[in-house]
Amino acid sequence: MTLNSRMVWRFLFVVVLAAAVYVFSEALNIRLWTAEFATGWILLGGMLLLTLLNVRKKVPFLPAVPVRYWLVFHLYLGWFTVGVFLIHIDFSMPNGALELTIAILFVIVALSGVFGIFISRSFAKRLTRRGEELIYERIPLFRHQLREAADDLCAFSVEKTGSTSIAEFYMNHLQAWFRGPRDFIEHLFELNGRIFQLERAFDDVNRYLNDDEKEQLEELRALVRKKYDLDYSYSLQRTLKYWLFIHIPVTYALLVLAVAHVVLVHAFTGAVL
Amino acid sequence: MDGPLVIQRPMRWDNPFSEDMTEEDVERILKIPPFSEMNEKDFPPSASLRDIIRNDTRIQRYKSGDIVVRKGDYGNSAFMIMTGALRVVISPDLPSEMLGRQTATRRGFYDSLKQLWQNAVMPEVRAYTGGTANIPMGQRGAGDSAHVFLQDVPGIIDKHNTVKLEEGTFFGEIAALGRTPRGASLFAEDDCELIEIRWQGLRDIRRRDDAFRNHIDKLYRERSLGGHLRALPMFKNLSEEDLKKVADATVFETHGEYEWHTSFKKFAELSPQERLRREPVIASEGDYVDGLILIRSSFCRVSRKINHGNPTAAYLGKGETFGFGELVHNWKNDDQVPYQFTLRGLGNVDILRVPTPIMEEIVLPTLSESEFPPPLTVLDDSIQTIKDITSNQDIDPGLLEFLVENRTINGSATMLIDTNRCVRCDDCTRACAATHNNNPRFVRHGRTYSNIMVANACMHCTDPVCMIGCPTGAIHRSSLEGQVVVNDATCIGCATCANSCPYNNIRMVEVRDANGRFIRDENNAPIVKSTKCDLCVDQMGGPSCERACPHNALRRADMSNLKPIAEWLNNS
Repeated sequence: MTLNSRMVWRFLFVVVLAAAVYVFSEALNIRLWTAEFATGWILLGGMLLLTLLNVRKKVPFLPAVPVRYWLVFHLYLGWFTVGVFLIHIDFSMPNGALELTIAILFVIVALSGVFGIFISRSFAKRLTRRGEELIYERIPLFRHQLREAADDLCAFSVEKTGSTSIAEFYMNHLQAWFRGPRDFIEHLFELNGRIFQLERAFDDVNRYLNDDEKEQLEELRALVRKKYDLDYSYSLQRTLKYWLFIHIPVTYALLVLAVAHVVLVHAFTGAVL
Repeated sequence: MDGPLVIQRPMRWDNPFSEDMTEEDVERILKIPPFSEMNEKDFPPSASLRDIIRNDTRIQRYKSGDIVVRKGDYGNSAFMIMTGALRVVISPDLPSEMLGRQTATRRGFYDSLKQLWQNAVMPEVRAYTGGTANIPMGQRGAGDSAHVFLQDVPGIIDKHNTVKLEEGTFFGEIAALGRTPRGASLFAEDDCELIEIRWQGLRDIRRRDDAFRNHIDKLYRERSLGGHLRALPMFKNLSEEDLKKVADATVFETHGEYEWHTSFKKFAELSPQERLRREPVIASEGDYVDGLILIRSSFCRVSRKINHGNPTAAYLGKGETFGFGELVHNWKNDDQVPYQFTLRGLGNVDILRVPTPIMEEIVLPTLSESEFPPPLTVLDDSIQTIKDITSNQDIDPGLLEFLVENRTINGSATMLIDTNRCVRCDDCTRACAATHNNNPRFVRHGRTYSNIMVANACMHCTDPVCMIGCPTGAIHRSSLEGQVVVNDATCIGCATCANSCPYNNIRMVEVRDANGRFIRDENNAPIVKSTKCDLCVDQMGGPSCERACPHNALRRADMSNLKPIAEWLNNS
């Protein structure tokens, strides 16, 4: 069995499980019971189980199940809770302010989770294809080194050739670009517009240079390509790291409001009944 | 105009074993048997016996109780007792803590959980209380001449099974020349002087002096060869008498550079063709099958010439054989085939060659049909593609070449990262830090082939060159599962292991006290310790890096078995 077919079977299992919850809630409704209590508790239990992934990560020294299995469980339980959530809200928009807020937070958590799965699967491969493996924390240092190398190259060019063509080209097109991470969105979507634009600028200035300058221009071009790759790696790695800064805090906010929701629902159950 | 820098040509003995050897010491050694019995004329002027003694030996002085070697240590020198007496500990060995080794225990559940609140905030905090850094046994000297000593020698002699070794006894030569673990622990019974000879000197003396060579060969045949042969399934049906006949006819050979690890970094920069050219050929494809080749230590590359290249078909490690298929084919059939592949040494390879007539007369008749290898596919000139010779390999031929070229095959727990799955989250690094003094024991970076990265983490090598030369035996194999670990208490921070590791996987760190301040010695120099991956030897669940990876992107792989690696790689 390949991994893909395994994924399909797992997903089907989740669909069946969610369908079972739906049938169960309908059965309760037919008996004039409040099915939302049952689906609500299932949903809250599911959400609490989902947060255990993060807890597991905090205790690497315990002989608990390896995180890779927890993550698989987390993903499919996530899909299951989406199903139960839809059943719980009866496939319609909640009407209370608290309920609406909870629903919005749930959607953010779920969508950020899906986004996380997507980028985990695709960005890792894209980073590999790009070549050199860079440690995220060291990228600012490499960027600084590249900028210094480019600055030095231009100063050297003026000194050696007596011409300011390359230095001017650098000042006009590249100096600001070398100063920090650039083209974040462009790299995420692999648009390559910037590098096309810069290559054209290099070709344009090339015709005004003598042989010595052309050699230096090629060195500068190599630095630009390195910086472009550095920015690419920075954009993708930053996104891979920071999507969790949406997923996890919103999860905790959701849990707090969900608990408040449970307390309120149970507090006012008598009045409703 | 400034010309190129001119220096004196580096010579063999620019770095003698000891700077303290005097002419009187040399004279003294030359008067003691077996050196006095050696004929100086048998040695060439470029490596005279006198020069070997002066440059490749040193006189080591031990006080009563000093441990000279520990069972399981790796060493590159042999010893001879000049004055005094030693005690060799007969099995069982002395307790680990007495030898200066880490006591091998795993944490319980509560001890594991306790790390959650007990781990220090700062990295590399040690709970020393002053003095000699909480060492459970005595320790004296520094650097190369540091010795761990036993506290109660008469008591130890009383309680443990030991044998006295007197003046003139030679020991440690098999372990030094064969790079095998020391077979027993020895300690000084009273104050004594030992001649220590490093392997280069041993090698040269063995080469030039027949009596010395015969002595070492005899020792090896008596002590180790029978065991090596018996470990192979094909020899298990032999009677003791037949096994002795096989052992007597077996030829020992050593190929390649003994200290390959010191030149490996430069070697790795050469072109693949140049590297291959420098690997010693042990057996060539097309040559007469003159025997069964048994690899006793290190690794060999198996390749076959295809057009102008020599693609790697497989690699062989300790205990594996070469030429068995051809031998059996020739014994069973009339058509005689030569070796089908070429065998090249990687690093320092010791092999045993059991001659073909001995195999045919004594060994093969004792084997049943099920013990023979599958029928040999005779390769001929029509075999023209790399795929033809690597088709029975589990992994991509390019990856196989990469693993062999970078000597990753040395690892028994190599950290492989599939960068197609790794999301660079560093959960592995954090898990490692959480289980190791807030400082990860590896770097998530390293040589890469396609999407496979071999990270800079200790590979727990089959040939652990890092263990050679540790003066206190702090780096050793754990008694739990053979992991290479460092005993922090007896590590003196000399960096011998870190310098020896050809893969840069050992790091020296400055340690701190409970308040986060760097601990210093009486001269205000920082206390440095050797740190490396210990494969979470004391943790309940095993390697935390692998268990922490959410995307199944990291594996600790035993390179002697490629099948699980292939399964993991293909499971994407």
